[in-house]
Amino acid sequence: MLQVKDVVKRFKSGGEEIAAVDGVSLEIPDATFASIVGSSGSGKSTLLALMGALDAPTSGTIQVGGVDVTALSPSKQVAYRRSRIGFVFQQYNLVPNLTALENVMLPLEFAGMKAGERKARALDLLRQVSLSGAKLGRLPGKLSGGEQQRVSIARALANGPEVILADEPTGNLDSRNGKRIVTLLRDLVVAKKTTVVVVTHDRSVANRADITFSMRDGKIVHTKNRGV
Amino acid sequence: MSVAARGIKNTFRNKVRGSAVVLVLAVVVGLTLSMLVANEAVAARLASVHEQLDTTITAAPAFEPGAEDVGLLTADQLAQVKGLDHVATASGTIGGMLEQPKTEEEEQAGGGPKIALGGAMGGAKGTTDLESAIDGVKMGAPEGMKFPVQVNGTDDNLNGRGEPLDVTDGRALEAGDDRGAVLSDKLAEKNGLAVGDTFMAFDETFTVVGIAATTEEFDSVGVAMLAPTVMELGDVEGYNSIVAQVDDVDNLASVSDAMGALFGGAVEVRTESASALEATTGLATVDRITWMGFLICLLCAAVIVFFTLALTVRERRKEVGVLKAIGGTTRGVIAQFGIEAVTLVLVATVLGLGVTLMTSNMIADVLVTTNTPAAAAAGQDMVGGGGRVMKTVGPDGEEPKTASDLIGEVTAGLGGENLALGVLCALGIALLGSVVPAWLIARVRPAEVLRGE
Repeated sequence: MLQVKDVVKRFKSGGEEIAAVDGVSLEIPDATFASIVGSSGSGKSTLLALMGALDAPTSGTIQVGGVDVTALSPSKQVAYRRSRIGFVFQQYNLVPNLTALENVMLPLEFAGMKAGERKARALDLLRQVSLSGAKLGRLPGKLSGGEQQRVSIARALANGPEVILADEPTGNLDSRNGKRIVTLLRDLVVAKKTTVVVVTHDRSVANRADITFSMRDGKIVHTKNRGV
Repeated sequence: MSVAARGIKNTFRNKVRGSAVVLVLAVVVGLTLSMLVANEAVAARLASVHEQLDTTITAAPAFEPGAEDVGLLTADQLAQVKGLDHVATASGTIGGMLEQPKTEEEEQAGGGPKIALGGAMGGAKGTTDLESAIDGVKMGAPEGMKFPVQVNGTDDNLNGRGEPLDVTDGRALEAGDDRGAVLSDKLAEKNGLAVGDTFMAFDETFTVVGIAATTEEFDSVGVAMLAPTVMELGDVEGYNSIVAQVDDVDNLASVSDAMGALFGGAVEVRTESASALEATTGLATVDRITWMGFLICLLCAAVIVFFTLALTVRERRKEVGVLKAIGGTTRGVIAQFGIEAVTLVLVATVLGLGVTLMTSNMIADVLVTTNTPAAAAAGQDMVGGGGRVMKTVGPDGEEPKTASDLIGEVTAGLGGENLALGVLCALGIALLGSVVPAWLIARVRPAEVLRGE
């Protein structure tokens, strides 16, 4: 269960304090495909960052599997992100001078896995996202957007996370590749019992989620549950 | 791929910029090492010259024709010299002249052709049966002219120039040798004397206890006795020279000044290493210049690394954020960028060694040439304060020509030690240049990655 309770995140902007997330509370059960929708500046990406312990809330708590991630020390937050969270970004954010295979091996290296084991694991993960052969040795710049996003998903899955947080994962993709990526993420929920939280503008992506939270001005204004 | 492998790979991620930075850095690192190598060479030469320099200072009453005789130096003055800072040892010597008694014919002829016995500026005088070893005719003196024999009373087995006696046969003078003497080899040979033989001086019988090598025509062609013996038999009280040994050549000037102040203008204070020492001040300047140059070049190299890394970190801020977001620790990311810096500097160091090989000798040569004063002409004495005379002599006692002759050639070589030091410097540069970029990395918050989406 991912529980967000009374979370507030304020920033100072031009001497003025603004609440990017303003008293949000929500619950996402395990093995759920959830989406957060809203216009630009509604606070959805900030909320995702808070869930992933990439940032600390001004107030409120976030619990993942019963652990209050907001109370973790910085080093434990790193360990939390490494072992329990997988990130998928709109711009893929692959390291440009590492091959597809090396990019997937990176979090495994951070987790302290031996070189031989991490290569085998990375190859398996890339196979799961339908990437193999010569493409594994290519640099991200030599891969298509869809292929890069699949490498990104394989990287997010590397350490077997409980939760995958995806920020506009289809934002840079055409509709065909977008659908493939969403299908891939949905399959993870079923096959690996992973909780997937997707931030999106795209209604078609949101409509495929089990639960959708609509945000406006830092608040959850609507929740649509499709039978969780 | 390990952190190290990633760091090395990242160094030349942008090939053009990486190569340009390495080339500029190679020149700076090369100059840094050149300065270091030149500094070491100059410092080694400086130490070597200092080692060779004589640390003897001699004080003797000034002698000017027609001037009032200032008398001998006293035991109190010797004690004062011994009490000066940086004076390791000091001893007094009393010189004198011994002449053969006049023959009846010479008395009748009014004394005969002979050098006047002036008592060597208040020194002892007496008679002897020794015949001087000086060949007067060879020196242009009239036939038949007799030369007196120089006697030197010493507490510490020194010759008339304040140098240790080089005893080649028998032994040196010891306490209790009241009627013992060390003869110069030429004098002993002239008079057919060996260790254990006796001769007459001051109307007393002396035994030859040792034979010393003759190093200079006049000073050493003589006889050495204990100072109290010469004073007693020669009826004099005091020393006509005080010889001080200074603990370090760097203190020569200060001790010389102190002795000058102690004795006043009527006493000459001489140090034979004065001009050599002056020449080494130029070398010391080069030593400082190269050291400063080394530090400045090191700083420049660190600045280059700093700006390169700072720019890299700024450019790859998002990547830093992603690495942190997917579980990389701040320390790990800093290590990766640190390895990039080390790789950059090590490659530059390898290339820089070529620059060092080409420039180190040239830099040392130019700096030594431009900072070495033109020395005094050969044999020219330099007069210091208080009428003190500073004789110019080379480090090996040879006649000097220029300051460069005194210093000799400074050869800068890139040895294994320098190489190791170079690698250490390179690592130091990388470390210095990485400090602020590392701080920038630590400040990157992974949330910024999402915010920039």
